[in-house]
Amino acid sequence: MRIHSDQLAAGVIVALAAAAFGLTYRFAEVPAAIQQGMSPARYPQLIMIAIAGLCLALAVRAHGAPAAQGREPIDGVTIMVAASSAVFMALVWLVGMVAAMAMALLALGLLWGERRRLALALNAVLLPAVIWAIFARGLKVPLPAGLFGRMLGLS
Amino acid sequence: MDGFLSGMAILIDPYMFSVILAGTILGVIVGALPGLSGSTTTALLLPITITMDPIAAISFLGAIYCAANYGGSITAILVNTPGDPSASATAFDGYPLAVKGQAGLALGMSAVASAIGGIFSVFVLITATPLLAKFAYNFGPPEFFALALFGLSMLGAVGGEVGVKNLIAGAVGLLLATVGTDLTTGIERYTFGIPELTDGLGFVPVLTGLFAMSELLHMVSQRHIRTELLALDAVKLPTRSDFRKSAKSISIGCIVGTIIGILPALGATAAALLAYNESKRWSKYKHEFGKGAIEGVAGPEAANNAAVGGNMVPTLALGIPGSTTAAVILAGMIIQGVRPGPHLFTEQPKFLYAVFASMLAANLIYLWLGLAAAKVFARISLIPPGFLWPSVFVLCVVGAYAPNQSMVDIWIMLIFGVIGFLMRRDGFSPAPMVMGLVLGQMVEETLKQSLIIFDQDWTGFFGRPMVVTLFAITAASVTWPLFAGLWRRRPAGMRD
Repeated sequence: MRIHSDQLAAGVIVALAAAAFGLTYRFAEVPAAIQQGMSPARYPQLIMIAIAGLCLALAVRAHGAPAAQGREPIDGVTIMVAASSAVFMALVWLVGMVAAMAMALLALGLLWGERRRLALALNAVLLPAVIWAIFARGLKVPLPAGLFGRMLGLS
Repeated sequence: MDGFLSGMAILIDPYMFSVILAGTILGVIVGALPGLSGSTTTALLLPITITMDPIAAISFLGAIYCAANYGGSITAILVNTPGDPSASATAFDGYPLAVKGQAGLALGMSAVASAIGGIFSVFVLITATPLLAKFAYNFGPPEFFALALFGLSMLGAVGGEVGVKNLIAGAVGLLLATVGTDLTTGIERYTFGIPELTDGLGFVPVLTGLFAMSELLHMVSQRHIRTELLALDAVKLPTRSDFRKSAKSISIGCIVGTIIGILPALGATAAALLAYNESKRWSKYKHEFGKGAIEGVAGPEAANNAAVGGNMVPTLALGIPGSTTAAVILAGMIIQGVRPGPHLFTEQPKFLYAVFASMLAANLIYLWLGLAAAKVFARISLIPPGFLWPSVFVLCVVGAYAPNQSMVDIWIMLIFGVIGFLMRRDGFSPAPMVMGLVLGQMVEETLKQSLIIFDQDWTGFFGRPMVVTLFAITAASVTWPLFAGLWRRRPAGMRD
């Protein structure tokens, strides 16, 4: 039997809600002296019961309904862009936020299919410089200098 | 009266005027960029507003909101790709007009109708908000609880499986709002020992992730689509005969847009589509619709801009967002320490009237910009995506990081970006989740306060007529999408 994508989505949401429901039993005990009314766990539990009910309704509605048309698998470049976010975070740790931004602008531009390399390089230099000027200089928000930056005494 | 005058006085303050002007220009630009809607932009620029005072911050966001709806029409007319979802109905007749070589007329009518709709709704906002606030002034926690539930239930009012999915996303948003320290007991919930989560999930990283980052991931798959700009003759004011022809559509758009806007959770897109259908129904020239009818541009444009003022009525008077962008503005107000609701009129009248004034000014400014520089804004829509979206990525990162200088917030933004992308693929809109997140604290607080008032007796809710009325409407909104589909799909023999 073929499972409708809405039924699959409803199943995943219920599974996550069930896990979150289980976690409510690991909340710390409320000291008796301050206990009054609804406990901290009760409200999220009520919401999760509502979520389960709505997911059941979604699954019932999808039963026997035709599958959604034209739903293509996620393409490779989208996955690479999503994965590059994790690489970006590693780069921030290593080379600092400004340099990591420059690299991200170059890499994402290329992934997007942009081939004007000089223009990409200019964008990769100018935008992080503007962000640094506005945030680090103007708004006094310290941007992470990264391991290399700290070694060079930039933080 | 003092509050009104001091609020309106911001229009002669050079700093405030430049903030509104900047917000309006940004709004038109991002509105014209396909993929960057008003809600995405306000979410992306929320961190910048933290450094401003509350009046400047909300005026800035309000100006973006007003102008983005107009900006969306530029690309809808010239590229057949709405820059903002609310302009999708404008493309039905705007693009055919442009193909016929009348792009200038379409853009001119769009600017004028948008401004009329926007200004009309601001006047409704100025008159209706105090009345609604006065009505709600004596509401207690049970009424506000019922009102918040009603606001969330409207997410389901669109019907079909979309309605059910909206309700699920809204409920998940409520659940996300429970992350952090329980305010009544100090017990931590879902913090997993991460200190940054003890104050709850930050609005900025979640909103930036759900709107901007998820849109970025969606746009990667659209990267092969190239947009082509149609030739643009000089933008010209509609003639008297164009106005005569479109007057009915503009009136319909103003009324439909404002009413739809006032209803919680129904935004400018629904208003524009409804106004388009109604304009067509009441037109003498029905046969021209879809082939380049000027009324088909005027009606939806008046409606989507009228919806902006309408959306702000429940947002300011009750603290219930009228749309997704209004939810982001509400989050901005909460971040600024301003809690919207009936008491705002007595406590901070200057703030309210300044917001009204800024929206009025934004409508006039984009009318001027639209007539003077639409050609320039149209060119902006052609920024290559290989430059635009990587730039959006770094703005998301710095925007998520800056408010708390926290790397955890960047991770939260990235995670919610992926969640938002997966939601969209399965037909779940991230917008209801944001509604739930923004309203979450209000729902929990008012529920707990109500139960204390009722001595933990849940039946106490049913002793208050306003609560019972709101519960009945809520129940109808929730059950409608659940049963409507089953009713339509019942066997043929049962239909008679």
